[in-house]
Amino acid sequence: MIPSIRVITSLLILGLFIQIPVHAQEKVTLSGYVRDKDTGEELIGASVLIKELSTGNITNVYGFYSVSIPAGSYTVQYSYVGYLPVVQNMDLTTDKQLNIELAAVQEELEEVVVMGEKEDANISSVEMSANKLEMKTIQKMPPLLGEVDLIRSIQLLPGVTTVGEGASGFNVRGGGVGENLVLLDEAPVYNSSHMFGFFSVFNPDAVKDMKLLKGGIPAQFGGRTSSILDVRMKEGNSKQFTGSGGVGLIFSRLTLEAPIVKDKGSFIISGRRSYADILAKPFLNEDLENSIFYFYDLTVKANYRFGQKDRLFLSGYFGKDKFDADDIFKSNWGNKTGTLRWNHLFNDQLFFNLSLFYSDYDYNLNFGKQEDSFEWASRIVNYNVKPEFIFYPNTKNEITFGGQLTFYDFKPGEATGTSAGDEIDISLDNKYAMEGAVYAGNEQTLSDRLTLQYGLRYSFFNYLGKGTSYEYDQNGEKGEQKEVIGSKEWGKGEVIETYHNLEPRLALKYELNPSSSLKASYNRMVQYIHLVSNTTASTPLDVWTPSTNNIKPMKVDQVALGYFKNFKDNVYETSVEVYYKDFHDVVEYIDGADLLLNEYLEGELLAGVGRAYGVELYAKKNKGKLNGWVSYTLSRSERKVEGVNKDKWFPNRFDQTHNLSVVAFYELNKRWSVSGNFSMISGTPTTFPTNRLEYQGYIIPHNYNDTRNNYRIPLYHRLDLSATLHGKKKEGRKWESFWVFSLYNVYNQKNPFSIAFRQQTDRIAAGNNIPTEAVKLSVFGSIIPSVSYNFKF
Amino acid sequence: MKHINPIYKVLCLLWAVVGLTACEDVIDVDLDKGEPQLVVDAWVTNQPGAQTIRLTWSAPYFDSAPAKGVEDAEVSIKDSEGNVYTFENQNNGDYTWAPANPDEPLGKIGNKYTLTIRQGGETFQATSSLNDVPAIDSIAIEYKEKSLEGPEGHYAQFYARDLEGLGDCYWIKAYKNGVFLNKPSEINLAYDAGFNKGSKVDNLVFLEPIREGINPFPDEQEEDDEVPPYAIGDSIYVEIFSLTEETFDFMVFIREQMQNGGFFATPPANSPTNIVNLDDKSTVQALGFFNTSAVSSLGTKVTDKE
Repeated sequence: MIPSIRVITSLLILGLFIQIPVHAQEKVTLSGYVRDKDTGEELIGASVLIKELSTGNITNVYGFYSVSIPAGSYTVQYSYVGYLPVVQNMDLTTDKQLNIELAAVQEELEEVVVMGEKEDANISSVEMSANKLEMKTIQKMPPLLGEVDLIRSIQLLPGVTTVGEGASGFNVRGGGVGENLVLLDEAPVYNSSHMFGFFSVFNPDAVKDMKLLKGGIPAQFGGRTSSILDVRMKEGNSKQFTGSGGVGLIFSRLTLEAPIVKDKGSFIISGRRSYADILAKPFLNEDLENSIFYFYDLTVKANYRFGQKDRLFLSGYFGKDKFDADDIFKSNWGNKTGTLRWNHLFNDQLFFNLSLFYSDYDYNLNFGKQEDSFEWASRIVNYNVKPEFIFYPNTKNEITFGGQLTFYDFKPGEATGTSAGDEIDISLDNKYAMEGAVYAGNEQTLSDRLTLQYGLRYSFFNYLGKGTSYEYDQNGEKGEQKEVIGSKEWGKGEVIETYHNLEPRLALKYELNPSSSLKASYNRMVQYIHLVSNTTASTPLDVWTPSTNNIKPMKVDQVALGYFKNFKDNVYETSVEVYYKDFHDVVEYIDGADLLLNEYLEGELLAGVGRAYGVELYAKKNKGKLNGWVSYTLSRSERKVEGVNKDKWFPNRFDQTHNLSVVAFYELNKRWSVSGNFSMISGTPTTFPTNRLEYQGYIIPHNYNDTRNNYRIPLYHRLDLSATLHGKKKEGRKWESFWVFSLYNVYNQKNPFSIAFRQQTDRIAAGNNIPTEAVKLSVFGSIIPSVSYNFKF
Repeated sequence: MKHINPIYKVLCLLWAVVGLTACEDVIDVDLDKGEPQLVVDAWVTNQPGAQTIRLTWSAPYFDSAPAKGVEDAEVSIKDSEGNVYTFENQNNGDYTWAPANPDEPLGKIGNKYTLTIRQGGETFQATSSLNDVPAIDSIAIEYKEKSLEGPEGHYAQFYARDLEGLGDCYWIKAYKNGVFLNKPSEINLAYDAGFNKGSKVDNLVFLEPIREGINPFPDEQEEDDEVPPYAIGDSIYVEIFSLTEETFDFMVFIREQMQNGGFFATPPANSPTNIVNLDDKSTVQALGFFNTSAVSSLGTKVTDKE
């Protein structure tokens, strides 16, 4: 089932060699960029088809394409869903650079498009286990509190789940929240949430494109085991000054775009700020009156083309959540990312991108006044360099190769406590690490029907000084805290521990006929840094830790098979995928683990194995007044850890047997459209007690069988609806506007987030009976209506 | 999360502000029932006079009746000086040792103790050291305006300094008008002057949240902003019990398990025990914990001069 690394390596080398003689024939290369006519934005995944040869290519993430074909005269079609195709006849005797601009289909004519690219991309591309949601689609989905959200939207796709509303992050195919590589213009985002998990850090107005890879992950991606969420920001309108924005119940947004030099460079600046605190004020107790609670984020990006061959991009994200309660408590947390990219064309067939990026997630807490206070700051910072080449030798091959180097600086806790005027530093040492990778991959078309994508990634990780490494007693009781039995000091830059791994990747597509295909993939992913969190929902205070001499890197092998079939000329798109994942060295926690500000954190961690498997059904209607999709996932995600659950397999916290989502859009007329989504999800596993112990007058819950996750919380189901009213468009005016009215949790379902057991919270006089109860927590105890006003100019 | 109690509380509060409509409901759940197990509630101090150890049976979780006493056990404690103290069966689950001289204590700081229980053909043992405890210097009462911390009224703090050296553990118990503040949320534990082992806050005055941990929490039905912790005329009595590190871990664990829930709940798990069946092949396991404590205490009355 799992191909050996040697086979993959041979394939890769073979692939490169086979092509060289072919390249020697008399060939010409047609290359260039495909852009939007109105905004100048490059289109990602637009198709370039040489009709006579029934071959072509699609544009890469920078909108670049390159097709090498024998000299001759051809009809070339450029197309992108939602845009009018452009067909050109050309005599190709020499290499030609041609940039094409496609015009978006006018709103009135548009048959609403759910997802883009080539119409049959799901059949013809080798990519599987991938989901793309257009921002246009996301913006039509029912919003929560007036705001649509990227991460909330992807949770309606097959294989993507969350432990509950408002929980940070998302789970993909049985993996943890920290196993997703969330990229914003290539820079990793360590906490993708605002206000816990109600909103994500991505401002929908500034996002150009997003893609989620759940399996069959190509060699250029690595570092996390479960998925890649690749979010690309808009470049900014290079034709004219435009803006867009919205006013909602929770926050307002404004985005401005303009050319720096027309058709050569542009910028975009996009900001949001919430005013939850201002709105909530009337509802808050007097004592919370002076509290400040808001978040903001700012996304900026600029790009400039230096001639035909070079282009620079500079982008950044700054976001912060802030909560102050009088002078008693102050806190904030947020991400900062910065990316500098240089696109360079060595020649028509060799595209190069160099990315330098920086990412920082930090939080600060501050309690009390001077005499008695507690200050705590934690952060993870990293610096990256990532060169990447894409080589287009001919229409049969597309070779990607490059590398990545990351330097990490972990600050798990810088803390000082002051008690009655005495100050004490309780900081933990910083931890340092370096992660690197080199990779190469090829997408090779073997025949009209068969396409292979294969690659290999070699990754390594060094856990570095300066710092102290600890040795723990491995012979103690399994599942319990390990005692420190030794320690060693390391100097700056000294390598404390090193790991390296080969990560083979393989995917293939076999087209049964023009409307159906079979796909298969295998990937090994290795993760060297770990999100340490054992709470139901991950918190903003969760700390990332590197692999150390005691914490091994996590490895996941995944195989997936899929059948894809389209009906009625791609109006309906369906797929069935099955996957199996094998997890090694998953981080688990001892019972009652103490994870924050703990120098001996490693002694609280356990390593286990895991497995996840499932089947994902997906059906989508792409066109027509009524469109949308239905997604159903049947899955299981389990772990086995020595010392937990009597060493037997148990379902993990985010295991959901059934997960059904229905998303529908309906265009009533030119001005009104409605949308709805419905979710029904099996309850997540949890541990319920069987017995109670009386101890010192307290009632302690006890599970006689000592099993983990022996029950499930009840079924979750929810319906959301929204209606959009488009303002009347006046001839000759740029201003467009629309209102969105929405109802979240329409039938007022009190869905359980968790069920807890406790003794009654009121004071019980000594000697009286102490009643015990089960308590259900619902995140939304009611229907949530909202309205927002949005505009474009 | 659990040790950094105030952070956790603030996070939950913050989250409550965000999830404006979140709600909790008491629901009916069908639970499996396990076999009754021996529960040892053994807490011996250096205070003069009689000492009682309580042995009960565990019961189905929703059974609110008082736990049934174990009536056929033999209980004794041996100290590191070789003295043996036999506990008499009171036939209601209580087993009591009473000294000949009522001022004579059982526990002595620095000694080690071994508890032996024979019941149903099994022999269980547990050991504990009796550690020192700091004196309480004072109890301060402050009149506070209404704030995030609570309503306007009198608030108390006790002042004491953690003993020198890392690894001292304490349970601070408070009594309002002679009534022990017995809610799980009022369990006030300290590791040195702070909350947990990792933080190494040695030999300081106990951190403020610990000092303030002697104020009662209002009941659910009471309007939070109406019942101040203390009023003029109330008496306050504070005791510090020294704990072994194992007992500290146990207490932190049960405090969390008894209140575990909500958004940032940790996985429910069974509490540890230091009660060991001497026959390691036996499947019969006892629950509970044996601890020996030194105790310091101080009381005061709330008067109107504050």
